[in-house]
Amino acid sequence: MIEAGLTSGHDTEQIVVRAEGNMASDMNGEKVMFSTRTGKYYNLGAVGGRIWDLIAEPIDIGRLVDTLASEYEVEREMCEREALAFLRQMYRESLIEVRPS
Amino acid sequence: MAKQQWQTPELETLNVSETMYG
Repeated sequence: MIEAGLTSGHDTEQIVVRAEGNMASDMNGEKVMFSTRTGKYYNLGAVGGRIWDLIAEPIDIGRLVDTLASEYEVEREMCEREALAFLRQMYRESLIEVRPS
Repeated sequence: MAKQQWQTPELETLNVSETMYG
């Protein structure tokens, strides 16, 4: 149900935050993480690592996208679309929690 | 301040041997 929300027109009003039980570290400019929930290791990459930093505290997706668009050379629409796709991937792996605003 | 280059964020699942030993 929440994932469906991430694909709706109101997705940028939702709040995302890291889920508990993940250990992350920087490796060659990319963020590598271990999830105690899934028992898997993940590479979030450089931009994914920045997203991970930004969701240390609850943040609404619109503000998250605004911050990314101000820091990176990218059109806001593309930034939002690709950031949402990444958040969906993380949600499916139980790496984040999504809450209504 | 110059903006950084955007790369599509992807969640890559690693296997342990890749993570620990290259």
